[in-house]
Amino acid sequence: MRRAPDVSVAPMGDSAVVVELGTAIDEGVNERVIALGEHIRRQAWPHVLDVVPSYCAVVLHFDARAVADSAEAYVASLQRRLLRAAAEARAAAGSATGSDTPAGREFLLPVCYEGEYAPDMDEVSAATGLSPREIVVRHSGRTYRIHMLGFSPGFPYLGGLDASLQVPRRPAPRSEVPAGSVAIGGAQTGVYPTATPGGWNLIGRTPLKLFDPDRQPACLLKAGDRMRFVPISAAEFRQQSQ
Amino acid sequence: MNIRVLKPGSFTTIQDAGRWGSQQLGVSASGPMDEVSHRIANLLVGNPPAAATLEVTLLGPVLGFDVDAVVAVVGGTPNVRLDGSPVPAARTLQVTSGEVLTVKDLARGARCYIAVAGGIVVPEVLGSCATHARSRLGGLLGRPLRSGDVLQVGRAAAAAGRPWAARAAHWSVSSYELARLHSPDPIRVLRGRHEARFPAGVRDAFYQERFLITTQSDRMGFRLRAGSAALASHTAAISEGVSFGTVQLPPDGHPIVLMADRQPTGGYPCIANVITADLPRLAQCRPGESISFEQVTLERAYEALRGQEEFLRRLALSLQAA
Repeated sequence: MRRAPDVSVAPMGDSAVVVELGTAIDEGVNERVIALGEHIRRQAWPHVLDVVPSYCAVVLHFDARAVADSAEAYVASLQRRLLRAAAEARAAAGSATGSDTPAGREFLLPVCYEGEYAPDMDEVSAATGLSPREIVVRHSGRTYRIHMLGFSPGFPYLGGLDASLQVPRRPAPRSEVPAGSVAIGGAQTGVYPTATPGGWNLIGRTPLKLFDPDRQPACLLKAGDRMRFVPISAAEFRQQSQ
Repeated sequence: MNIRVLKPGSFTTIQDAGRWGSQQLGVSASGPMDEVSHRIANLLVGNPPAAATLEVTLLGPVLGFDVDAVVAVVGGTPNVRLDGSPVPAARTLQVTSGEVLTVKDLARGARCYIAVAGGIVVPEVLGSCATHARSRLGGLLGRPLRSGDVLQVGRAAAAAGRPWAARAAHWSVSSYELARLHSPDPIRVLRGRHEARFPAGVRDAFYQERFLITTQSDRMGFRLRAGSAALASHTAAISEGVSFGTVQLPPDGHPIVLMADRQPTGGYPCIANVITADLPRLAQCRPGESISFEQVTLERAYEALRGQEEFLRRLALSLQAA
């Protein structure tokens, strides 16, 4: 393992290296993680297959079979490059002034919180003691930060759910949640871009196609973006359906 | 230039070398469960190693060929028939238009690869035609094969010509050599990222127990069942990137080994990582079988990988020289 202030780099198995910038969910750490991930991707180092940022770390996957003959040297060189990249990314962030620093985009996601698009709204209302209208106000009334994508194509890990809206996951998951479903599970909220099994409570749906593999970009949402849910009517939902 | 799927087999998907470069979007890498068998199958038909093959699980398909083709079936011990007559696996086969290829059950192992010279042709999604059934990406319409499907074969089959095909007719890999590729039990692993977080008793038990591969095991992951409650703990972790072979140990004490169709990130703590060289052998284990783990060093992991790559290089050279 190699260390610098705030950074540790170590092999993860024999086909990945992990760079850790923190140990807890923290917006500042996550911003550095996302910036580092982008910086690494731009370097286009040989035999690198994927660069995966998360809350506090970046995992770099490489083709172990392709480098097998000189794997030890390749991994050592990769660790050195990663430490250097972390230092470069930190310097670049440090030299940006308040007005220069990109705050990420704010993405407005239209959501219908009514009727067939919100199958669990009544249950969430009963569990929280809040009316559906109040739930919509509190859920759509704040900005959420996307810390990372994972779990399924385009699925955003959001931070910042209002504590009064927390409800446990459903006792049994649905085998299929409709694509675009907006949901609450425990202390988290999110959107399922594609139909997948899911155990969260469905309180709305977006007509936007958040993930489309044939589109450029494939994902509308990005790590580091901020997003707000914007309530729309069922009629508007049908109009906007893609 | 077609192959008709007369019977699909229990779970047959199109796989190339995998969908790399999009894991940061939540897109799985997919690709072959047993990369070595996939590559040997491609070698035997003169394909590049990353060409798309059919990955067969436990019970294979019945395929009707509407074109002359060069085919090989590699992985485990599959029962292969051409128009009803047994033909050898791990060998280059000449299939004539009108013939029916049947890959029945696997006497041993869990997966085999049907390679056709020219590769299986389907549209690429995010740079790969690997199938990820759970998100309906890639392959044939994002799903396993069904009866009635028609598969396109790439051009190389026709262009290969008589002389190459005649030479390739003698290509084969002996089962002895294939067996030598893989060491016996246990499955070798490297220390996991969160290993130090687990109580010492849990870590010790992890290397002493035998784990049952449950029937809830598939391309996403192998769900193992520990014989005792010795691995239960309150250890936690924050979601982060995971690999093919990451061994997660959830609070219930039953490990999960992440496989080809794993999600790119996981929130359970990681106690170990299966070495890349042992992933093909693990992928050939069937539900109902038991495995155990042995911790090795990174040096040994790369030694084992070098050994496999050297074998594949020699095989490629010897086939060309034949």
